[in-house]
Amino acid sequence: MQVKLHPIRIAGKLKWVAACLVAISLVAVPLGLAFDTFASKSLWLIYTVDLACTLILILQVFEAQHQSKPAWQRAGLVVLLIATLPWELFFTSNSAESMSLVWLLRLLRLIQLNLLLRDQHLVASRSPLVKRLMRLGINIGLVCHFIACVWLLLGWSDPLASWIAGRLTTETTFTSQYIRSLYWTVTTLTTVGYGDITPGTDAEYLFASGVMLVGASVYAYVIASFASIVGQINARHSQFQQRAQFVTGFLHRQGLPEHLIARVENYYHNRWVRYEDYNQDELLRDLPQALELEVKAALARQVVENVPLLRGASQVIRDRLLSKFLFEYVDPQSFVLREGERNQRIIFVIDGALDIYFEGEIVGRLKQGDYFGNQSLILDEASTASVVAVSYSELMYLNRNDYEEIKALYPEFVDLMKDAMSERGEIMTNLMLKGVIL
Amino acid sequence: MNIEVNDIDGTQVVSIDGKIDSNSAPLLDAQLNELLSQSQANILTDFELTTFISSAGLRVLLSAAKKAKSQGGELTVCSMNPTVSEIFAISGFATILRVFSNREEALAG
Repeated sequence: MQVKLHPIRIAGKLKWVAACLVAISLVAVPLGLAFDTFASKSLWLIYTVDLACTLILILQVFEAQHQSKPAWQRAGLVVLLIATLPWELFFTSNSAESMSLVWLLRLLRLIQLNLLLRDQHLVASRSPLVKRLMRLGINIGLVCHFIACVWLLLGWSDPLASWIAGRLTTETTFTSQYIRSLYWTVTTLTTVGYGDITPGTDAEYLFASGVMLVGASVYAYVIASFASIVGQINARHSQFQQRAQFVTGFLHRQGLPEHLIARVENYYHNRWVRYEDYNQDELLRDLPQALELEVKAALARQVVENVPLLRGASQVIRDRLLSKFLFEYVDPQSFVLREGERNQRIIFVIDGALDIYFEGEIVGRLKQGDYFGNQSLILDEASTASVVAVSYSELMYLNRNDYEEIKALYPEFVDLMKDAMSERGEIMTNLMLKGVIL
Repeated sequence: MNIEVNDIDGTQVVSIDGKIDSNSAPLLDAQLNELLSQSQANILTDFELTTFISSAGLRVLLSAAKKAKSQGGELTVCSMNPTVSEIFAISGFATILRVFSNREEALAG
């Protein structure tokens, strides 16, 4: 049973649409400011998107209210809602400057866009690093676009004296002018500054100075963010490799045989490929017990699928078992159980294959879903055979104490074990007839 | 360990009193083999008084069950206490031998 809650929340897919609409607005509004022709031709688009953005913002305000977000955040959203309304429709001013200022208020939607991009429901399936990279890329792109549009606006405000003056005959199209402006923005922000496009008017000199001052910091921030993101991507792998090298280095110094060291190296390699060294128990330690169990059950759905005992168990027993199981990843040639061992655990095969060795011969193979160690544990006798991994195998263990505890709490657990054995019962008992006790 | 054999309507009911471990298992083995050699292949092993069974005991039972089957009969078990029942369930024997909760049920079944 899944408990359903109904807070007001904008659905994930709708958030994508919302983020796209806000981004369209952030691209179109500065272009409308820079090019009168664009503004007149796409006024319908700008106002349609305005309407959508306002509706989305209203939803965001309600969402923040119902999710008990901090008061300052809710107040900020309301201010944003008021600030980005198309106020020019309510005033009859003909002053181009005041109209531009009203239009510029719409650029505050960059905050709205970032709030949408930060939402975990928008890109829930992606890693935090991908989210950060995505946000960084979008923000850099939009800031460059804003600056390029202002640079164009300044150019067109005095076309005979500004940077655009000498280019009116060669760069006649809207696109080529925008590209030159964007090029100037990027060369300035990145501190490259070729000097082929230079300011001509006072306003341009002032704006260029401002961009240069801000540009150095923005550039430093971008480089630092990229370095941090790339560093984080490799950090865990480097740490893991370092540990593997430390272990193999130690084994070399101890003079261990090469084949054994190669096995250790291969083990580390395979473990990284399979798990990327995520330690599930450690990762989930912060969660409250109920949530931890639910997350573990969801993570273990493959295990549940592969192990008949878990497949047939009730939710309560399954949760209890999953909280008790210990997981291990073993490499080929590893002895999981040795002849003569007083075994104290039941071992389940989640994935891989293991051979049963009895009197120097292979007498059987254990595969996904099988379990062993149960006979020696229940009879309290030493194992008379060995179990050796044939391939990289994923196993889980249930210790004697945990087995006893679960059995005492849920007597039906014994029947579950019996049912889980039904497919392999004859093979295992026939092996016992030969003298094999596992 | 004490073993008592009774013939009830053609079924040889073998009652085992005590522990079936590696010391006593040969005794049970001999008793079951004697019945099978007399073509008494329908055997019910009554565990009402059995306190424990080891791997040696399980092997004896399995071996006898196979022989009984080859003679057209069957070896069944009944009246196990929780400890013995758990051993049968966990070791996999409960899936290959028919297990009854009491003697009456076993004789009827």
